[in-house]
Amino acid sequence: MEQTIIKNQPKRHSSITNFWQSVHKDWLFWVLICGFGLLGLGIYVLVRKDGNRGVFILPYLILAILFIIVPLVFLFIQAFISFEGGFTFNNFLSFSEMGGWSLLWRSIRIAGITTLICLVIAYPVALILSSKEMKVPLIVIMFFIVPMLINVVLRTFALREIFMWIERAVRESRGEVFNLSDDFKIITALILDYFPFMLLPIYTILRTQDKSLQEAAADLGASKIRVFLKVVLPLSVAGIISGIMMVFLPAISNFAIPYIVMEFFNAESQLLGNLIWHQFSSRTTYNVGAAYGLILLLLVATSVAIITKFTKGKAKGGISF
Amino acid sequence: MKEKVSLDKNLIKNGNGSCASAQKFDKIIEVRNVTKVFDDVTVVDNMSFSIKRGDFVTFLGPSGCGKTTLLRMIAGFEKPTSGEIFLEREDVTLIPPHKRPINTVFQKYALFPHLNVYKNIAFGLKLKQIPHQIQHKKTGESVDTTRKYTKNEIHEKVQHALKMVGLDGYDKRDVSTLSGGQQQRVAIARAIVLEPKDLLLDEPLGALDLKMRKEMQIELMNIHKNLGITFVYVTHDQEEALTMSDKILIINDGVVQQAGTPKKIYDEPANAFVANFIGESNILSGVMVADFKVQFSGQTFDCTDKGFSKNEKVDLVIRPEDIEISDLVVSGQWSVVSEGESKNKKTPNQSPITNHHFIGTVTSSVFKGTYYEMHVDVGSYEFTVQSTTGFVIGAKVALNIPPQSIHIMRKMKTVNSFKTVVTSENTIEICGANYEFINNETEPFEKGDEVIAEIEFEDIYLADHDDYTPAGGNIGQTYYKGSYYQVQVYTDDDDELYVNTTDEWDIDDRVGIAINPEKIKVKKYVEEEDGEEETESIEV
Repeated sequence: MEQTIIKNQPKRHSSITNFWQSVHKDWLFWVLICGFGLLGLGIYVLVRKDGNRGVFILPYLILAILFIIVPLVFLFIQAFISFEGGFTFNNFLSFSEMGGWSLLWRSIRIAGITTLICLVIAYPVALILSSKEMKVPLIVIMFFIVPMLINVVLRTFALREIFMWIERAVRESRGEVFNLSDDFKIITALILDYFPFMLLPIYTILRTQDKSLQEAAADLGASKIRVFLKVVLPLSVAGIISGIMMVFLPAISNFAIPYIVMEFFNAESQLLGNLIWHQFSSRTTYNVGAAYGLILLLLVATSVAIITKFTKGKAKGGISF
Repeated sequence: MKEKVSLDKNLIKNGNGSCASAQKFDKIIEVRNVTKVFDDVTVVDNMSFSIKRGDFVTFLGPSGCGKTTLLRMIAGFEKPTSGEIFLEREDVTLIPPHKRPINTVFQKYALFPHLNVYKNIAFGLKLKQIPHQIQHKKTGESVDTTRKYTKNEIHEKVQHALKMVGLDGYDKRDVSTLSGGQQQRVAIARAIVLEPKDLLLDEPLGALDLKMRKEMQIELMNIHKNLGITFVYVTHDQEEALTMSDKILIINDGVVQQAGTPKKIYDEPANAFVANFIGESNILSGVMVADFKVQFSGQTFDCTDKGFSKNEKVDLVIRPEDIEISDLVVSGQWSVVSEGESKNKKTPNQSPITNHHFIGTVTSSVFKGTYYEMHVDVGSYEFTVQSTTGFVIGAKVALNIPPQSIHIMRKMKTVNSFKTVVTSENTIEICGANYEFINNETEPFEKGDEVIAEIEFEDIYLADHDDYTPAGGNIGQTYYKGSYYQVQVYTDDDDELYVNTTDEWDIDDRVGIAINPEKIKVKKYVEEEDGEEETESIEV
């Protein structure tokens, strides 16, 4: 007995082999992906020809094909297949029956209001934070980013509790039933979640804006308001567009936040994302969910196209789509 | 740092000043006792001067001397910590930039990237209110009012401005597609199209290459001539300043060192800084033995300056092109003068009887296009000489220094002097650190005593690093004084001191400051009535 124990005892390995054995082999995937990236860099450094720069895209290209393109193709195929198998359009046709059109409109409205309020709050804040005269310390800027450090689920749950307190407090003081509207709850939660994504691009673009341009405008006779309207605002359009994209697009396809805020109840009638989530939660309506997903994809693509069209050529000195 | 001017005192001064100045000169800009302090650093120190209408005035100085801050205060982008700025006798100190009839050409052009060339130039025109008379319909009275330019007027003015800077046909171009020189022209057009009374230019040619810069210099001078308005130009390029300006203001450490015409500044620099900054020069230390007699390098020379006290230590400048250089063979002394003998000639008080003052060896010779620039080592000093005749390296030459070529300047500072406190029995605070000293006075000092410490330039030793020395600093200007260098050291607590050293230091080099305890002369500080320092207004 004792002998077998001794026999089964692992041999002493060097620390590297020890480490290697403890690593799960699925990590090899990421090692390979990063390896491709470094290989591309190596080839570029050695050869230094413009044509070889394409190698850099390789790691992401593999990822994109595996996890974006291929699933999209599957989604597309699934959307046109019925549960029993075989080609059908019925998945799409059920959209209006499920109240999809009103949900779609509601999603646009809620995401739109969220984006607008974020923009209205974030722009002045970004303006103040980026101003050199104010000498805003970094800690204040961090203050606006700190909410991002708290887990989104935790944040939303906390918000739900706050809503409940408010409702209860009003109910107790007035003695009548009081409920905050669903729209208000969802929009508030979305604003609190996505505010930093509106603030940061605008702050960054205002911060990097050449201050001598403002001086030049003042020098040419522009008052402070004119300097803002004619120089600062037009030159921050790129940041505004980035902000809109980063708030509007996640907001329109969101499902988790309404789900938590609505206390998991009746959530599928809130946003398009919730409807899709509802379809995917049952195996029988999987294909319907795929079809709705495709509709949402179309909606997002259209919004991007519209934003891009309206701001074409106006967004200088920033990210343009 | 100087004390701020008290408010009421200043008001009285202004009242008197403006009346007097109005009669005497047509001053377009007047700067009075202006001080600007950024985070405890005095950038502009109690400056007073005025600028005459229509002149091309240049603020010249090394980077960080305060010239750009001064310009920005005139433009209105910065408010002075104390003092006033007047524009056509009107106090504009607190008037925001958009209400001043002044326009600026910025160092990095500051063109609006979202507007094309035409819209950039029309920017100010669209905002400008111009006086306008309208006839009242019923009464027929004319009423003074203001209006904006019409589209046609704007178009005409923009086209005219574009033509003026040689960019006609570029109006629809995007500013980012223009070259640096073209962008600069647009920036100039944008400023002059508003017909300002005053055009401020903040190192506008700094980002251009040499050839382009030369072209633009001539163009700017032409624009100045055609418009007839006042130009205030900021540069650190002495050649540019000498070429373009009617008047130059040389600024260093936030103080006007000298103001005058380019010729005057070149020929009669006020101090060693100016001489060193403007043009190539030989700067030597000497002693005025009498009026029109100066002694340096062991010889007494005739000169054209007087008014110094007897045996006053002075700096003197000799321009390299003023030194007469000739071949020794021609003067017939080649065979008799050897190295040793030439040294013997330089015994003190021996007046030069021969037709040359120095005999030396050419150590370097560079052809500069129209002349040769040579360094001639005469033993006690290495002269820089410019001449149309070139001599090969190693050649023995004779140097003659005519009296009119010697320009005498007062010493900026003869000793490092600090008002400081005793920190313990045998240490005092200098440059924010504790230095040991040996007390030569009969009375011992006590901790906290206010004292004056004096250290001669040659008694400070500069070390390569500040690891083992109490205080450290960075090298500022260096003046070559022949056998040694006089360097200016900015200490970490923003003091400055001068050091004579044989080592060569580069600007901004990090040094440690070591002082021999025996060489620090410490005296008790006697409080004086410290009157308000009032700088004399310089008329430029």
